[in-house]
Amino acid sequence: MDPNPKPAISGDDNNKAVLEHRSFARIGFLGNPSDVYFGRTISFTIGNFWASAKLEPSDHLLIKPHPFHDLVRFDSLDNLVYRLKNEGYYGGVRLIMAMCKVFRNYCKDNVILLHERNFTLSYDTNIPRQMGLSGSSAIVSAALSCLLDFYNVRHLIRKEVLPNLILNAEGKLGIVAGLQDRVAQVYGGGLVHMDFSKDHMDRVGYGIYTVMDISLLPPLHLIYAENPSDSGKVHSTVRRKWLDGDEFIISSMAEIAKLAEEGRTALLKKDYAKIKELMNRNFDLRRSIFGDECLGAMNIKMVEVARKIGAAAKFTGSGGAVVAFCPDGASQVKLLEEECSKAGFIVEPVKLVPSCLDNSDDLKTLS
Amino acid sequence: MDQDPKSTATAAIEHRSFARIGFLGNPSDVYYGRTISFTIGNFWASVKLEPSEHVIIKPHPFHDLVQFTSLDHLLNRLENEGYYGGVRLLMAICKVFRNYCKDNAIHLHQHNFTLSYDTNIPRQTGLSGSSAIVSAALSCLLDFYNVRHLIKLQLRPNLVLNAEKELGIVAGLQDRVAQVYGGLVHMDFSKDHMDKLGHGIYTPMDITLLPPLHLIYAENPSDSGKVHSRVRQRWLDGDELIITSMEEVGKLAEEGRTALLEKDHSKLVQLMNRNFDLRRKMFGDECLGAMNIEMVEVARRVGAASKFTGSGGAVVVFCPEGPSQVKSLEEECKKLGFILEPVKIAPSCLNDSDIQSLG
Repeated sequence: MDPNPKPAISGDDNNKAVLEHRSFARIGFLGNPSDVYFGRTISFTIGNFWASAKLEPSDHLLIKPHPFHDLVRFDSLDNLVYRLKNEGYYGGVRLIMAMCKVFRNYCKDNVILLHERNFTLSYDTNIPRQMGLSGSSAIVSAALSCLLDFYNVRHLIRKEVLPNLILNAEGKLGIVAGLQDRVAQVYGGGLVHMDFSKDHMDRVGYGIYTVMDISLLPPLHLIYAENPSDSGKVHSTVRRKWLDGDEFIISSMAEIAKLAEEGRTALLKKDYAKIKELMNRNFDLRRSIFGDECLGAMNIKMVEVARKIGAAAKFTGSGGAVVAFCPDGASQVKLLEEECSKAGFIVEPVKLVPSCLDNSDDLKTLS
Repeated sequence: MDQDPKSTATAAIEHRSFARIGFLGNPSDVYYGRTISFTIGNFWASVKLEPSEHVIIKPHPFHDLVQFTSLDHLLNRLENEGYYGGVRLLMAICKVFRNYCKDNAIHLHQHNFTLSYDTNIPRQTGLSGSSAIVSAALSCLLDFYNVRHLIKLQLRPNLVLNAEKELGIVAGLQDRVAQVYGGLVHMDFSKDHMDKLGHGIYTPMDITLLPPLHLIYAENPSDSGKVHSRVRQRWLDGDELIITSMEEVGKLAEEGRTALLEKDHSKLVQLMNRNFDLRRKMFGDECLGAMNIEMVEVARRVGAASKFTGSGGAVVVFCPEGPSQVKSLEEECKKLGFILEPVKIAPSCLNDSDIQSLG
């Protein structure tokens, strides 16, 4: 007996339906990482890479390991060592289990009744690992979406809360991060401005999220390396310093947050020269806050290769990939491609995804 | 007993590693102290290595949590067992083993293998279930690559520990020494040895020196002291109480060695009890966990000696007065819902290659 009968739509037998959801990789456009410091960011998801989760009803509850991503099979002992070094020990299974746990507990705490049927959750992803493209949270986000539909509770949970659930799931596994990526992925496809000011965060636990017109973005490019070996292994003490009241860190972080504000205006005005300035300033501030050892030589090189030919460049996340803007157009893009080729980096145009805020249930919960 | 190189190409290799009990001196092993530990035949982990085309680390259908009866069952298991099964342990030892061989110019052949495992060591019971899996896997790799005689026995516990460290498991060498050697082992981790050799001095002892012992544990070890311990930090900061208490714990292993050799059972009772009392003083009840403390006290109430087997979850008991005392203990445990079993000692598992490696 389903405690949450589907509201308006009739016909479809929920009991047998296979559910599938995609969650895209994201680019932190401006303002990151100030999201962790009560700041503001503008992010969006990209169509180049995504994770998908599939939920099928089944007798037992099964979390299906992925034949490749849940590392169990290798070409050789050396291949095993190599993959562990580059990808770590963990695939997607623990992410999905954590999401199930957080989801279940949230429903329990909020008296949202769930039916007793079981399911098999499997996933796939083509988001390159360790690239600052938010691969982990994409898997979690896609899985959550499946659970919301399977249990028919999407209309009972505020959309703004969903990024928190995703972050909590990753938190269970020791993944430390901010909300910015997850907001972008939940609001998938849109360009989202996020305000994480302390006031709002303290009061409701989430930020103010405003969907902007994705077509406001200029053409962008993504730079990354096939073997992201040098990804800045030095642990950052920035958070500790911020908590301890370090003036330089606090003011720099505040300045980064301002970049998102100025960025919103610049996008609306299509002021591309300003956008170039802001993107570069964003990375320069990150660099002065975190230091080169923490950022990693290869990551810095990716930024500099773009800067060399006059493009704007900054990290997409915390390192591993770079988003570049070539204000001079196609000729400059060609130069960028040549420079990247010389340096052994991959460059691709960023593909945008249309907003997936088309589910009528979502609109209901926004009110 | 070197294996014929041709035969390693086709034969399946299987090794067992037993659960261990830290008898006296733990946790001073982490603090340049001394311990006496032994492996028990009650529980073990086994690892099987079979030659195969690819390298495959086979998830266990139950222990590598993927199948559940319901969403609530999933939550329950996550709560009790954590997220991780044995696969990451096997991968970690493969990595550590491979890197060790590389760093020490030990040549390995190019054949691939499938590693699978099984275990009946209850989780979260301080019986060293994780390191048992790692230790058994290492043993398989040593044979598969025919390098047992090339890797010093005393160094193998370090390899096991390093594999677990890769995964953020924080622990001392004591368990791993017991599992690599098997049987009853006295271990000296004094700073001198550790700094000079990188390992301690390990002396196997005769298992028949041990009196009859019992194991107490709970089916659902829910209350396992979740409060993080600050003892290590305090020791590093020079806290006098911690430093002297830890030294005293280490001394208990020394006195214990003598007491075992002299079959001085009343002394053993005293030492076992003192070991736990010192632990309790240093770590505090919140850290140890109410259920764990209750297991120790239920034994004390009938006049038996008791202490943790490891860091909590199970308790080792010595009933000096014999079967009548054991019966009283059985009744008390039953009332509280604890499981009580006699400890079976697992003997030493060293073969000629291992002895050869001692050099």
